[in-house]
Amino acid sequence: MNDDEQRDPLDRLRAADPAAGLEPRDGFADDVVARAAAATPDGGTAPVTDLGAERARRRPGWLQVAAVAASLVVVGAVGYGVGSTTGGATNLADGAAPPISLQTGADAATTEQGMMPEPSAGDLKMSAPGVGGMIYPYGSGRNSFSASGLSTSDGSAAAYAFDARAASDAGTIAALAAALGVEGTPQLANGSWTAGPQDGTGPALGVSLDGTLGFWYSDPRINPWQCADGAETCEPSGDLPSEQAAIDALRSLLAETGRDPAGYEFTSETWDGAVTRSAQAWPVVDGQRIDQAWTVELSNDGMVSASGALAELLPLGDYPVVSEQEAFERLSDPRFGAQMTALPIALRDAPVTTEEWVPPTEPPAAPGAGSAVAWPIAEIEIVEARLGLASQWQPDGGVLVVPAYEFTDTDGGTWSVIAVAESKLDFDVE
Amino acid sequence: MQDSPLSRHKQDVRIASTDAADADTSQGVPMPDRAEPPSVSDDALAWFTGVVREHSTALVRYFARRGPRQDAEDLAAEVFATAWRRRDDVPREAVLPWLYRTAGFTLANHRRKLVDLPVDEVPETAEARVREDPELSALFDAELRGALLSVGERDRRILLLHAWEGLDGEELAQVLGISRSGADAALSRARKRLREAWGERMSF
Repeated sequence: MNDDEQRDPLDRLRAADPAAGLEPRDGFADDVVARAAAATPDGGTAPVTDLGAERARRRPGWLQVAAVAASLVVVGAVGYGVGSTTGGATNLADGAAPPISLQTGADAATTEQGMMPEPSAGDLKMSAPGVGGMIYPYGSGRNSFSASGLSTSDGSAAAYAFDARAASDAGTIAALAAALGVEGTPQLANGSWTAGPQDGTGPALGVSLDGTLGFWYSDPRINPWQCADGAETCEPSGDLPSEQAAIDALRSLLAETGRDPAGYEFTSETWDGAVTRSAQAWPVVDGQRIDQAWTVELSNDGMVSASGALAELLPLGDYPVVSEQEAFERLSDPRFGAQMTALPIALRDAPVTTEEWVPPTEPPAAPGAGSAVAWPIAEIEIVEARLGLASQWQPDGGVLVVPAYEFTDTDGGTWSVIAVAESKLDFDVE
Repeated sequence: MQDSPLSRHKQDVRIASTDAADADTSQGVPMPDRAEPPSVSDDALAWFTGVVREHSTALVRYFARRGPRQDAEDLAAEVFATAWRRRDDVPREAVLPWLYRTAGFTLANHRRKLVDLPVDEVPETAEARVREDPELSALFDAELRGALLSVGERDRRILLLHAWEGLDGEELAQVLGISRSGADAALSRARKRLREAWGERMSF
């Protein structure tokens, strides 16, 4: 029936080569050689400096593309760093508390829209041998936490779940396709709904059968970073849409798919030199933003891409939550894998310097007899606790939104840990 | 007076953010089989010119497959600039694997710079850094993306090098910095895992 199912996925991967037929622009090789020849004979670094500046100039493109391709979790997690380094983020309505993430940034970054992230504990285990002796003092386990004055009262708080199955029907997907202007009838095959051409020739929609029923839409025809076939250069151009335009586009999309924009908070950001602006709509529940936002990316020509979660949230009732003090103690309990979810302010704001790497002239001296063994431990003092909501993936892909604490340390770094009491945690391994 | 953890942290970040293309290549490459170090001469430049002409397309495609196209030429040029600076280390009979290996470091470094440390850790090894790879962003096929995401970073890297760069055997071993037999086994394992992941998705 379906050829794709019979084929070796490797053949399909070969056929999907995103760079098939791509050639460097004319003169590329000559320029590279000319730059090398212009460098000082002893291996000067002039070319690298130039290229670094070149990349810095083009940086917005990368961020934008990465944001399009990567998950909403990434938008939430990376958005902070981006905003703080470029001053681009704007919070238009900050009535609700920000979402709490129980995933590390690194995990979030590997999470495609709608895909289930790998369990972070497994990741850490797997990466540990590679990291070897270079253990990073922050967020890697060698931390010493202290705090005082935290509440010792247990309590309860509401939890929710995304109901992906209820939204996964042809009518819902067709309505979304229509709102986005995607042609054709949605088809369910190979584990996802699709509508429109999937080969990059026109606006296309995909909906993944995952726990949030995540969708992604893109219109390659107006993607400013898409090089025309055979084009020598493809520097993005065009005027930047206004913040209001991006948010209005997102509001319309929500409304056209039967959602009330009043139930969301909106943010928008762009980057220096960008020609598109993105906007996010964060569902607000119990005064908390949920970290599964809808996102659109708008250029002057229209909506370049959009993504979001089609599943609606179902209330699951109240769950018992541990006290601030007990949650704080979880930070030091390896079973709960405290996640640092935001860097301290000082580090966030530190400019990324690009000093020349100085080659060593000799190896390090042999440690002397009786030398103390360096074992750096970060001393972290928690000064604030906040109970909020965080999304959490079940082994079958279902997505819960559960109470979580976010602790802030003296440097402004934040640490997240699940707040649900052990009586409602299932510790079994699959 | 000891460094506070914070200042140590800063220092690590700064060092990690220097032009790690150099730092990385000095860690990961030198490769075996060094040729006679050429002096800075017309010969060297002629050799380099040949290398650039022969491998520009391969390197630009390498980067275009793993990130935005508009960055591909800049990154390819950076790899060539590294090759020129370290020309004494480039094995003459296996230039392309050396370039791909350096490209891997360059890409990982590039990504890390762009993300500007929004994450809780800045892994110090190239291996760990590539874990963040959004390298499937250019891949349209959502099913393949899903299957590749589930096979793990190292398998994914090997599969992409095999499927897109056409590497196997000795060349793959050189890019990965492991033995020939190790590379054969790794590729075979990665293919098996991809087939399994694919089968699971298809029986969804």
